[in-house]
Amino acid sequence: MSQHQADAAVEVEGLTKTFDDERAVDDLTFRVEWNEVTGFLGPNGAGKSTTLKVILGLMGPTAGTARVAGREYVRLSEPGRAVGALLETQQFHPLRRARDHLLVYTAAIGLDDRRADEVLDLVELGGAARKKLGSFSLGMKQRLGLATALLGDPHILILDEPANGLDPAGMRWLRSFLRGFAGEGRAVLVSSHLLGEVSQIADQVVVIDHGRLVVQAKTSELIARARDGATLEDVFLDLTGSEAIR
Amino acid sequence: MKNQMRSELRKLTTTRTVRWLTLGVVGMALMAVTSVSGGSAAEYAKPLTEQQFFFLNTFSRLLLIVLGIRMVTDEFRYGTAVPTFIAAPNRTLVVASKVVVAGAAGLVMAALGQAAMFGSATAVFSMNGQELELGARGVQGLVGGVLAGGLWAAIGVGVGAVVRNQVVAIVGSFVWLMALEEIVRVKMGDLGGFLPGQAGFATALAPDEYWLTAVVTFVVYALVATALGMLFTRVRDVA
Repeated sequence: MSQHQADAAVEVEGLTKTFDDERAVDDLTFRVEWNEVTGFLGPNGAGKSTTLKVILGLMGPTAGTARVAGREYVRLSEPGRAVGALLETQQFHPLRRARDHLLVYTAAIGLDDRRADEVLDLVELGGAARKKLGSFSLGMKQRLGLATALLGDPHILILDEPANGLDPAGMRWLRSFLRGFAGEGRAVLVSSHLLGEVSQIADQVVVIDHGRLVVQAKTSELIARARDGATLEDVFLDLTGSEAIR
Repeated sequence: MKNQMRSELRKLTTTRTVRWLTLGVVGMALMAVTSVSGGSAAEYAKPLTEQQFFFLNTFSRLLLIVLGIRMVTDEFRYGTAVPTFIAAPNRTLVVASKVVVAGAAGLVMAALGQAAMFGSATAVFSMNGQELELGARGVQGLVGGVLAGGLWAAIGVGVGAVVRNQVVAIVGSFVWLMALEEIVRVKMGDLGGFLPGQAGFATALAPDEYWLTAVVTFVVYALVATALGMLFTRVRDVA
């Protein structure tokens, strides 16, 4: 076990985040382990994105802690090399070219500029390197967001709905990539509404609703506990009572 | 900090904003000269610091403060603040880098504006049989104009970091500099010279005995704007 793996990849303890007296996240506790893909599930407005933003230091917690590799994100010595993150699809200046977008962050992280070309090829956007981002489709933006997340060759990936806009080939690529990434001794925390996708890649799932933890369990155990023939989607709907999204 | 400054410089040079704003500053310089060249003989005979083309400092400051404001507010408008603060979670360092890069870019833009003004003015005056003498006061105006340009851009970063909303920050700055400050200045009497717009203008144009005071006052405004920008950026969530 390497030094960075002495602690959980991500550890959230008693996390609460309120906005104008409304609790978006309410006393939430869960762990993301190394060598695993952790699916982060919950209905719309459950508090998933807010939780991820607190983990990444973009929002301050009202109470509780969120640690990445044993430290608050803002106290990591090399955050850009420790963690890669994709939070939203619209994180691009529309007039900037794809490669230039990546070069902004290779500079910030202190990487060789050749890394930008490597990740563009990895997400199969090498041919669009000089295109302006305003002309990118949603799927291309998602791929570029992933490329940005992968720039620092991080130990941990934190992804918010990464499959949005990807075509079937892209989703298959993403599935394979994330499994391989975790298989190298790293960790993935991925939020998604695509429960079928999560059931195929996640070793464990964390389900939240109204900002509170509903369950954290191994994916296989969760399905095994459910009634015969149940899918992860069935289990999720039973746990959250989200009839509206059936 | 070096890495983040490189990153900020790349943000600045990989969109068209800085090019358009520089073009605007140079364009205003040429307009300033044109306004003099169509003037009377009395206008030509005035000391350099009193000639109309010093209106450049009045209008170019608007473009220079927009540069600084946009270096921050574009990040929130387009959502790039998220990857910026994920790559560099030390927000004080990010704002400091923006201030340094904006200040340097402002110096360069203002220098180009002054060069365009003096170059074209020399040519126009020469064609009209007039001699354009720079003199010590002219040199001071040139240096002060460039310095004020850098400081206006740095102040813009602070304004953008505090306000965040691009339209409000830009319109608010314009309204203050072009209208409100003049009203306040009149009410303040002698102390009105210490208002930010006045201090910026005086950095370029004040008579010798007031020049250093003007420069120090304007530098203090830039430092205060930077400190406020850092404070607001540190304490607020990046939604």
